[in-house]
Amino acid sequence: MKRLLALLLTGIMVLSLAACASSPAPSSSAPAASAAPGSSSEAELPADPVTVHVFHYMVEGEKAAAMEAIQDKFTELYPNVSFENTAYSQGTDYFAQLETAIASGDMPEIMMGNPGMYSDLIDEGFVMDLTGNEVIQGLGLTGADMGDVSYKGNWYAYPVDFKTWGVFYNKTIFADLGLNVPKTQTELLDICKQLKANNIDPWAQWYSDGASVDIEMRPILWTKALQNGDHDMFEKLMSGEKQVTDYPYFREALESWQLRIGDWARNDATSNDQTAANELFVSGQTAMLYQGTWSYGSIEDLLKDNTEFDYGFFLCPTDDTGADPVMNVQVDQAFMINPRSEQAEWAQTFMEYWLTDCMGMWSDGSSQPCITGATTENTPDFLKTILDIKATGNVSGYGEFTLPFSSAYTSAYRKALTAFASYCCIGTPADGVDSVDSCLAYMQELFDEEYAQANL
Amino acid sequence: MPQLKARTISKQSIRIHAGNMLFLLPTILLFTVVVLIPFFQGIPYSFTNWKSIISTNRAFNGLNNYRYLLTNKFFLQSIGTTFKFTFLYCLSGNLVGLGLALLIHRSSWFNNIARTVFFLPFTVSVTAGAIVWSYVYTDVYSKLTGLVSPLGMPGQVVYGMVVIAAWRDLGYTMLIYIAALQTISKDYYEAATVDGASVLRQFTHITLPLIVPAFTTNITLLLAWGLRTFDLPMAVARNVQEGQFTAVYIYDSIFSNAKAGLGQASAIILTVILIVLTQFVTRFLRGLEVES
Repeated sequence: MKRLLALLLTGIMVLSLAACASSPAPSSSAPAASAAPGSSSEAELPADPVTVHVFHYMVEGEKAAAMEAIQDKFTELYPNVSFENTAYSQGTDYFAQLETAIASGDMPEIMMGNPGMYSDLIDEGFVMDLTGNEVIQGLGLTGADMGDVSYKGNWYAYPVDFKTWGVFYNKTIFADLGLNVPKTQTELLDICKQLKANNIDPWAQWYSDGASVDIEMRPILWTKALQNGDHDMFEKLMSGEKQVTDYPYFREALESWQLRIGDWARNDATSNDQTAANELFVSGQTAMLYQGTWSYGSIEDLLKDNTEFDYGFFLCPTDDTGADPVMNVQVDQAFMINPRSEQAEWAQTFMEYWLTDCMGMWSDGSSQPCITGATTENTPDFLKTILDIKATGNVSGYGEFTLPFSSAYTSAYRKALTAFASYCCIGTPADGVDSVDSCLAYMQELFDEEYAQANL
Repeated sequence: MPQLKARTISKQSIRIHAGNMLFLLPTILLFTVVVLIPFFQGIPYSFTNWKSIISTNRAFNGLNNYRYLLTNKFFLQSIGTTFKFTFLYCLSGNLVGLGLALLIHRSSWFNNIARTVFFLPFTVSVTAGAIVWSYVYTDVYSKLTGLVSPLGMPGQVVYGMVVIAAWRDLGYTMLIYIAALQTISKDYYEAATVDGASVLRQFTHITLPLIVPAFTTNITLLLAWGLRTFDLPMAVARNVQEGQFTAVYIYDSIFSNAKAGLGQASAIILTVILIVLTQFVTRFLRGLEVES
């Protein structure tokens, strides 16, 4: 009896693991959308209460709050329309939760995400084709911006804002040491050396987070690949047609990044997440922070009680030509509509209202640069600078690639980069990576693994 | 050759067992509906090339998934990492739990407070505990020692996670050991003392044999918890190969990588390993049990 009970208990604990994937996928006869409310300007008040479900990964408080403020404004216009928001971290369980919800027939109306990353949803008919949508067309976006919300040439999401990345620097430390914003890679490395010589840690790094290692590569990888016409680089790597060593930009990007890491990495570089790194930077413990614009709001939030902290931002120089660095651009917040959800058309009306009437409100609330370039009197100089650079066209956009890395390839790619970062910061080989060559080999091995699994 | 005597079960015994089973019925029903039936429904998927769980397209691919997994470096590595973690976690969780139980198993106000304090981590979720520990490693351990946090140090990630897992669960093992220690009659120790047995000899010859049932419970539980560990590596070692436990491999295959058929096959392999291993360990430990 005791043995039976022990086995039963063990069974309960372990079978739950194995049972997790066995829910059948929903049939294609999902509920149709309700009566069309029409475009935002002419939508009629719904007779019955309408609930629009939003699945998103804006776990940063200010972005979610900004969206909720827009939702509240929409509800003022249409009192019978309410919203239910569900947020998960993108790095861990967002897509898993979204897939599970859909597989169980629980259809959210609005799903955050760049379509290329979630191609399964499109292939299975869970994303509305927005090609030719007048509101999106009216935004007058660049081909790169539209590429970020497209898949196989069709539009599948409403783009709201964009992101880029670069170096946040402590102006006070720079001024005290007589340092200027670097124009070349050599100048940047000299700054690191001078900071170290003055017992100041140059960088607050956060390599425990996959996004960090990824954005360190992009200024060279994206820019060089696009300049050389390799728009299908990611597509060919995923199809197995090409290998990472076929593209010299991977090597160049790794070498440049290794130089930036230098021999001045802090002993928390490989264990910090971005919150920890942001805190290190704003507390003045490091002079620079390589970070994305999505953290601007969080940094400002940390500085609420420290108005004396003065910081600036520059794009990371990756060569010695002295030319202005090319800014990477990627649509950040983008939202897809699920045509099989009950209130798909109300979701569409809401998104179009957001894009036409609330972009300034979004930018002010979220501290993100709007995709349309919209500003208000409250827009900070930081965002205006980013918008100005984008307006010059000296940018390389992820949307210019024919396909982005899928989530499986992104995960494999970041794993190899994290191993490289560990080696460069600590000097101990990680997962067999102890050089640029071994990193490339490991990366290819992980890609081969994905390719083999895809063809099972 | 002696004749085997047929085992007879009295009506009273049947009534008692049936009564016990009745109490378990709600749980068994729930378990059957929520876990057991989906599990058996899921087995056929492990023989398909099913990709995304939202897809209705899947084709039978025989034993391809199993063949692939059993020869795949990364899957086998994940099993190796899981075994290593489980062994160390089981060992440390039990040793420290037993040590604490020996120290505070007698009732006193201090011991009662100490038990509560040691048990508190068990009430914290693994994810929350892991995140707190990641800050402890970075902000305390690294600052005091000048060393890199084990969670960011190649080769030490598993050890870093063992500390977190053992810290959380040692209060639980401690309580079970305390309960077992309190059932041992003082007469044994008094008799042994009269016979001149040392404290160590009393421990090895009286205490240990009589708390084997507690070992069985604790080792079986920690073994199962260790082998299915998922939230800990997800929270603190998402991007490193050392954090690729089998449960994470399953999750990634099914969700992140859209290879549900492969993920289902890996889940079934883990389940089989777990059942076989647990059964083996339980049988072995039951063999060591003695009547007090």
